[in-house]
Amino acid sequence: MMFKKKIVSNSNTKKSCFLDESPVFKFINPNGNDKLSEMSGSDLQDLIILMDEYYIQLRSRLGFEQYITFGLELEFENAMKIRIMNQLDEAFPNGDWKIKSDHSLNNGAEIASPILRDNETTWRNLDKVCSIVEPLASIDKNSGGHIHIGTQVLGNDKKSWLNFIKIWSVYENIIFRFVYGDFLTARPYMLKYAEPMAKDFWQDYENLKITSASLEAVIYRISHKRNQAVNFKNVSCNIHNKFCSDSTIEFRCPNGSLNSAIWQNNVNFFVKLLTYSRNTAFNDDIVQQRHQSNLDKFAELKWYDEIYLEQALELCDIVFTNNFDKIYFLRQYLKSFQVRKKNADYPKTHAFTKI
Amino acid sequence: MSNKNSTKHLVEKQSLKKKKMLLQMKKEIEMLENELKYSKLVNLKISTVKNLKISLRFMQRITPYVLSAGIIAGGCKLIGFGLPFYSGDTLKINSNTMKEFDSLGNVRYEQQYDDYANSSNILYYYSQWQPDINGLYTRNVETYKLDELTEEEILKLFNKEDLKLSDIFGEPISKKRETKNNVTEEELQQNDCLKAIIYSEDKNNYILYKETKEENNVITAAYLALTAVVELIPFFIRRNISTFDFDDCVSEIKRKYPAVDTDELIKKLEIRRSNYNRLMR
Repeated sequence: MMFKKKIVSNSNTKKSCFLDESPVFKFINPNGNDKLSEMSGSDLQDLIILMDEYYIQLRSRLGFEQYITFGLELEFENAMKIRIMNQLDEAFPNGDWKIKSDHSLNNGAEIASPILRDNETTWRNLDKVCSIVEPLASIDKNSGGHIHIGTQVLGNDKKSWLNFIKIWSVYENIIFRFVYGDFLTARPYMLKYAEPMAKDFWQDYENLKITSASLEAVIYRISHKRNQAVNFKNVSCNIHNKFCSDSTIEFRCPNGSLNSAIWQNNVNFFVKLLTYSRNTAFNDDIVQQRHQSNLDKFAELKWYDEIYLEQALELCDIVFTNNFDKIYFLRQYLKSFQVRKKNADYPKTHAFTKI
Repeated sequence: MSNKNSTKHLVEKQSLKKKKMLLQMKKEIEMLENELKYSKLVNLKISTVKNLKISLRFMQRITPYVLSAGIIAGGCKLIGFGLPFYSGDTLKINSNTMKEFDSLGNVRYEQQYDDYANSSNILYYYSQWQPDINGLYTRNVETYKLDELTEEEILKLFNKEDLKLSDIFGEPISKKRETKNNVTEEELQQNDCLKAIIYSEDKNNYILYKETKEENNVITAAYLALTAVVELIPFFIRRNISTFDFDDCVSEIKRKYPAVDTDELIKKLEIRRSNYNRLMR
């Protein structure tokens, strides 16, 4: 796996600079923050064509602040578990990346990462784990790719949590297609293990916005069950209302993958989504307008396979602050404009990452 | 100059790709529009094909059972019992004859349109009457099974001298000693004699009658019992050996031939048109 696309951190301005000579980044400045949702049709066509020739890669860093922590759970099936275990022990003698059985998988297992931060070592290790597992297992219909993000990212402000469930409920159709990764649809057991929450979250938001409920009460209310797209059952506070160190928000919806670039892209999106929800500049109006125009018309899992171009561009503009992230998001979301054909079981898309 | 040419070439290539992308999107929209336009017809076709396939699978499922039930019912009719569940059938009963004849030349016939309770051909050997010390008369009676000998063959035996019955028919199936007091002079004078009783069916002499409901109920009950037992065979084969699963087949057919959902089509069209229009803005 190459780390060609470097993020150069400018310590004076704390801004990341993206260096990429690909044609798409000659068309659009990777360090800029263009409003893609306001692009003309013709420019958008050009962007999409150029994006289609671009293959996302694993980046050396994403530019997160160091307080942001996350953890990964890689599920896979048809696995040669002993060989994987031996190779993991060899690669990580301190036992950081642990393999364990998972009975929801078909002769499969799960590798849980330690608590991670955004640095070169993290991504290099992830890539190593993926390359160990890839020849010895496969991603099948039951495999998911869960991502835990430390609750400190969303913080203690109740409004941030309400912003998060609001934006999730309105853009869940976009989020799901994005996290399908290199598949064109949800894995078959998505409804059982990572149920979509758009309708429930919107209802929760409507009920909670007018109450003076505490943060603890809000979190209790939105934690309907463990097996939902976003699981809040791992969120825990101590008696001083501070989050415990192992308190996480778990994103259960991503399909399984052994592609480190897709994992990184998913992490990037979820972290940016959470930090945006905490942002005082959270744009209630746009989200509200989007809810009005959709009105749950497509709030069913089968509709999440479709491409909602306008809405995806809007989400990009809301969540990301640079074009590089936006291109990475859109590339994985659009998947060369492929949509699952009728009766296709669990189809894969054309490759959009460079191995 | 070459830089300008290559840039021009790249721009043309880019333009072509855009056109191709938009053309593909337009084509998909048109396909959906057509599908919507002809959805009723398409659904009729899908429903016909689907129901036909399900019917065929249903026939496949019930064929072994129907076949065995049919064969048994046909067999009932063939052997003269009439069809189960259907009373009032015209049935034929052949005439049955019993003929008794002995080595003294006596012959007796009996004919009935019914089965004889015991219709095995029998040969009786009667020894001569002998007086005993009590003033009574006794004789031995031995019974032999006749098997498949014809009347002519039996008459030949009657005329044979030094006939040893056990050599021909094996051990007698019964031996009796008969005693009585009133034996006539004629009987006393008689030597040992043989008497044969043979049964036969005359298929040219029959009567026709209408089957009663009670008779048919018995036939039907017997038919059901026999069919239930016989049909355990295909049931066992299906369950333990065959890979045919009707429910799986039906699910597969329904999955392969989903009806066109016009609401779904309309929504899909809306999405695809929206994407296309956004790119044409």
